[in-house]
Formats: sequence, structure tokens, C-alpha cells
Amino acid sequence: MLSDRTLAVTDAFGLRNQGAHSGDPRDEIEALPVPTSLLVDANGKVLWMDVSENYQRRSSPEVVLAALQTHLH
Amino acid sequence: MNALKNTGNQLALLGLLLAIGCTMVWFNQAEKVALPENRTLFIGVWLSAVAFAIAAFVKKPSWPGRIAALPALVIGLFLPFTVSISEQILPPGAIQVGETIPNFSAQNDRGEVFDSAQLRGSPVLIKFFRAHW
Repeated sequence: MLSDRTLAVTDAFGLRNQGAHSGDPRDEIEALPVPTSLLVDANGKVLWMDVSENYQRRSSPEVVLAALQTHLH
Repeated sequence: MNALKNTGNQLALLGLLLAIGCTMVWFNQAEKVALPENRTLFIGVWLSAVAFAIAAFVKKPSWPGRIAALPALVIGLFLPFTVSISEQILPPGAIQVGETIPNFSAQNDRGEVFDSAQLRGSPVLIKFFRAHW
């Protein structure tokens, strides 16, 4: 597990949420990453990604497993 | 038991039960990663709890009713508010399928620096999510 407190990695991927900030108001930074799952191959290419349309919904384990089976067979 | 004969108290209790029941189902489904895409029913029940709480205050409840109506009001308004601000919007230029991930470094939970070069050579699943530790 990695920390991205300044959102430097989030910004490098272009995943900073442009919607309303729903994080802890005590946080220094007033933004959060869009909850996202990315399946990346051995060369760093993105094979699959799942972006949550709202922070209350995340990729279910079944969805992720299906992606792994589809792209890594 | 006399408190339950008060209409205001009855309304307040109903509002509280609706608010708590709906919230319990909400968090139960959230824990299973099974929140529905359409949350209209949840919002409807929460706002019904608010309506019952307001109706309770109109009927002048005794103190047990006031104690019940207040959390019904707060829960019934707060949870729909969290739904209203939950939309996530990606900026232009967000990474897409087919693109190569950028090089990056970040600190892990042991304070060590991790470099993305270590990911090369095998597939990897990367998840971005909010958390505190």
C-alpha cells in the first residue's frame, strides 16, 4: 500500500476528482483521486480500467476477477 | 408507555426507525460492495424520515419524541447529502486503456520509497482509493 498525500501520483495518472470534495475537511489537500482500478501488463500498458462514477461504489471483486481472467489468460 | 400515545412521539419514532433501518441497509450493502447504481429508494426513505420528524415537531412531541425526531432529521438529511456530493468526475487527459502508465514513486506504509520501475516484468493491479493511516 502506498501513500499519495500530495496527489502527485494521482495527478500523473490524471485521476484527480473534479467533482465536489467529499474527503475529510481537515486534510491539507482539497481533492481526492477518483476511485479507480487499473490492470497493467508487464510493459506498463493499461489493459483494463474501472472508474467509479461515485465514491460510494467501487469495483466489485467479481468485476475485477473477470477482468483478470479476460486479460491475463 | 404513555409517551407512545402522543402522536408527535409516534411520528418521531417512525421517522427514527425509517432513518436507522435505511442507513443500516445502506452500510450493509456498501460493505458488500453492492450499493445499487440507482439510490432513489434510499433517498426516498431518508427524506420520508425527515418528513416524519418534521411532522412530529408540528404535533408537539414530549421529550422522548423530541429525542427521537432530532436524529431522524439529521440522518435523513445528511445521508442524502453525501449521495449528492458523491459524483466523481475525471479531468481531461486522464489515463486511458492502451496507454502506458507514468513513472512514479511513493512512500509505503513502512516509510520506504517505492519506485514504479519495480512493477515492470509482470502484470499488476493498481487501485486508487481514499484512506487514512
